[in-house]
Amino acid sequence: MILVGGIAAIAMFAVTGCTQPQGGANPGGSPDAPKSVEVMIFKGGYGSDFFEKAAEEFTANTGIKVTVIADPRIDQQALKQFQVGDPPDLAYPGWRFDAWKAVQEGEVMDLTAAMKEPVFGGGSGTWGDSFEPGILKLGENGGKQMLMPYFYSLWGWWYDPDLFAEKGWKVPKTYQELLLLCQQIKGSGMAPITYQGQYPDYMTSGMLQPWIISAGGMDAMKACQNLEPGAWKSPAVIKSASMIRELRDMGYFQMGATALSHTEAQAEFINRRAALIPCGTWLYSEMKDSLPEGRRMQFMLPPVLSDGKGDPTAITVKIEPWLVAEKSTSKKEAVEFFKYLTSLEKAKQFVVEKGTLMSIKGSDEVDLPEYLKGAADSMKASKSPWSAQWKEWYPTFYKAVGDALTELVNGELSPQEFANKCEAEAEKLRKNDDIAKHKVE
Amino acid sequence: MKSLISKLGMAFFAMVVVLPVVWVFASSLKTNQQIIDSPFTNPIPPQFENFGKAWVAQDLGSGFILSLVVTLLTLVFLIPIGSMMAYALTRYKFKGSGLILAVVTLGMLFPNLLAAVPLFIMMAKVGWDDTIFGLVLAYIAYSIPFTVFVLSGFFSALPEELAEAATIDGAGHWGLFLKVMMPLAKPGIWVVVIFNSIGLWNEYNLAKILLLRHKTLPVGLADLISQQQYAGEWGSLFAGAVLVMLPILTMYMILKDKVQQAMLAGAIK
Amino acid sequence: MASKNLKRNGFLLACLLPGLILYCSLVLVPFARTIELSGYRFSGVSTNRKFVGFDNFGKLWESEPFWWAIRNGVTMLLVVGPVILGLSMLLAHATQGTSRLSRLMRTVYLFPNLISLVAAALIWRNIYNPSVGLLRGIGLTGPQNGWLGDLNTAFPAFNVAFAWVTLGFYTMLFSAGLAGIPAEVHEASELEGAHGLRKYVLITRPLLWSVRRVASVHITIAALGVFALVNVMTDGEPSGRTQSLLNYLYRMMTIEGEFGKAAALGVVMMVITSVTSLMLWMLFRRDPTARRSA
Repeated sequence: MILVGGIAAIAMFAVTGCTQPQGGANPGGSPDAPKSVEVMIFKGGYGSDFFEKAAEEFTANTGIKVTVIADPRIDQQALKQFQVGDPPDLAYPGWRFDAWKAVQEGEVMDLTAAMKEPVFGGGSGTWGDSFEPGILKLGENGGKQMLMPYFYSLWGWWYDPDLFAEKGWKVPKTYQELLLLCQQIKGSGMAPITYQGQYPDYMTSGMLQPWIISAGGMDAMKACQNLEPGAWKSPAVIKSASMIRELRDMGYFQMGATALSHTEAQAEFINRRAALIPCGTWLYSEMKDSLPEGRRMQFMLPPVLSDGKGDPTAITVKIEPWLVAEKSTSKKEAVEFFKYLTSLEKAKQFVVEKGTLMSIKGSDEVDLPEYLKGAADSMKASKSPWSAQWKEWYPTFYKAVGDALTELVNGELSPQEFANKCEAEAEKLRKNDDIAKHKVE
Repeated sequence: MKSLISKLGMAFFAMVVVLPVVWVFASSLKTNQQIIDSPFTNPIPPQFENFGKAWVAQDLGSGFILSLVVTLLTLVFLIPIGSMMAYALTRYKFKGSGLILAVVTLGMLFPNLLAAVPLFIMMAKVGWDDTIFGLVLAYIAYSIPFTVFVLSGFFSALPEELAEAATIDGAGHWGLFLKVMMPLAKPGIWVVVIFNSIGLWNEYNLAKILLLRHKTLPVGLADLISQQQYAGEWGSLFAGAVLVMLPILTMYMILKDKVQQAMLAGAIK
Repeated sequence: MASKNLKRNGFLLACLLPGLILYCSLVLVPFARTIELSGYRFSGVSTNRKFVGFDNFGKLWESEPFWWAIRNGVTMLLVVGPVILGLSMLLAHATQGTSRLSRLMRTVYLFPNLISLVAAALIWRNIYNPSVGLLRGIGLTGPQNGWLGDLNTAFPAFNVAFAWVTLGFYTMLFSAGLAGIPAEVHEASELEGAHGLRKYVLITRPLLWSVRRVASVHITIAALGVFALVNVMTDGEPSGRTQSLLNYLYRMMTIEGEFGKAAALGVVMMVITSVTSLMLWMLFRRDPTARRSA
């Protein structure tokens, strides 16, 4: 009897022990206590050393203690802490983290007011004005500044200029030139194009979207982003899909690329087993440790239809958002630290040290590394920089489109069937009230 | 003729089983270039520095140590806890003992990932997520079903007369358990120690979910495979695979019969 | 008398409490909470949750990866599992005896089962790797997109790896079963003229019924619970063709931030596993040797 009672008691303990409400996650720390800031950093291609050093400088400068936690899977840790109501104060949680869902759930601090504050150190102008406006806007939700940009990347294609010079190949500007070039490359025994097949994202960003824009103009892509009925099976989407399908049918994609991870495919490229690869401007940093001696790479815009409706200078911009948690107990300090990170001086430093572009005005007035110059020039010359925000807004839908793309590349779907499948997934999403809908203007 | 076919079949099977394992060992001693050139290059001269790279630069050394610590710590607590439970549930008759045994062994049926969502929320709430302590607790808990299942089989097979004799000699409950029954159940203890050490050393699911900054060896290796920039570091990647395989295979070669018995016990008992 | 009872109960409590506390709080309660969570919309990026009844199950029903995972699970259960068991039965027969080759076989066949699934996944990723893989090395280049990249070959290719990992274990299981059959039974059946397949069907197979029951339930759990191998080898790609139930659950938990849906999938899996195991247990319930002697 005692035994049964004992076990019942344990069971009760266990059940109540983990269902009790989780109020006031951060009761410790009286208002006067010196505040500290916990920052979670996604440790991707750019590492975390820059932020750790910046945290030390900031503490020395202001007396506010900053703890940096960095990991390639920081998204998981951030997720757990949001779940239990004890989120990090400031977070750059990386591409796996669904930041827009956090916005939707009211977990992200509204920074609209902070935009009007002065920049770090009290220099001239407001904090908001120090950002490139088009890029800052990518973090807006219904006119409120929720997510923040930091560095930004540009999507394009990459080639090896020395290899091209050696073989006498010409960088293709149009899709028609691309077809001719691929034929030439294939004739030389090399695979013309490789891609990171295990993550369809690269083909979506590097081919599908640019060619939707090329075929149907920016409006066609906008309609897709806004989930307008019929947009995903518009002629522009079908045209784009048939271009991808044509490259596949001609055998211009590297054999087996569908199964390659990003680093595996990129290794194929830098080891000259494939001549072209779609990727963002982080490619060099990601591969620099395994780059063969003296190997160079150069950025190009995806080749476009010579008779397309779209602006041939259109370029895809990508940000990886930062956020301040609404439930943070030291919001002010977190904002202050992020202001420090985005000060012109630190931004320039990041550009130089990490070889990426920054969302801060004037931060590119430094000596850009060679592989980045082409990308930066394309950005400056572009009349239509744009960003695929649907990817961040609707990650599950984005994955479904990527899956359909894999089936297209495998020859399982025709371009028309591909478009129908995307439209069907879009319809499912339109009906799903759990996911907040957004619009690009 | 028939025996020739069966011999050829066996030889083929042996090749299929062994060749990939040998290939990993060989590749762990090759240069990156040799690996990229062809799977059939010879590891000459052997690149032992691949192991150094895997241990230090890829940080699998800390994973190796962590896996070792977690495995041993779990066993140290699991074996007494599991034996006591199995013993009490099989050698004593009380209301509900059968039910408890059934509920405990039912835990073997379902993959632990099914409980992962609430488990990691609970761990996070008490601040034990991403700690060795939390992981060891979870490991003990999830190893209990198998351990109790096997040991209860061993305990219930022990003859009643022995217990009676010891009781007449004045042994108390603890004395009987520790001095008489535990030594008799030694073959069973071997089985659970071996089975659990293999399972814990290789464990992936819970370690992946509950730990973040600390990585056990399998999780560290998996992360290297899936997301790190190993493109140019094939040699050390294979060296990492050897690090995770070698301890278990060594133990198997030394304790072959006991290991086979342990693997069987889980299924047949 | 009372103190004796007290002592006994004290002993029992001390024996049972530590294990039961851990088991209840870290195993039973989380499983129960999975069932509870399956009724909530719970995004995983917030403490907010909302009761939605069976909505999560409806969403699962509509999602394509779920059906791939189900299809793959069922295929492994109905096709791959029996093939593996059949092969291991053959191998168990072949590796009986005391020849050196047989003894060697009985040592090495457990290798794949003992090593970490992560290492096994690494091995097979590289066997199939279209540019540096072992298969390419021996001239089997495979389909245009590579063995693991092609929509039609990816799942079979994955199952070859799964069979590689599990085959040795079942072979050992059947070997032990065969070794347990008394020599007289073999002699008697040979005397009566039963050889080869006939002997297997009439004598050996019925005698192995309990081993076959164990193996069937075991492979059911293994096939439905496949995770690490998929997670590291393919992560369900290409386009869901190698998706497993657990890998999809993990994906919803960590990337899609759909905790309620993940929990709902967990419940679906609990039901499938229980029902299948129960059915197998019933199927093998009757001891065919007992029936014959009756």
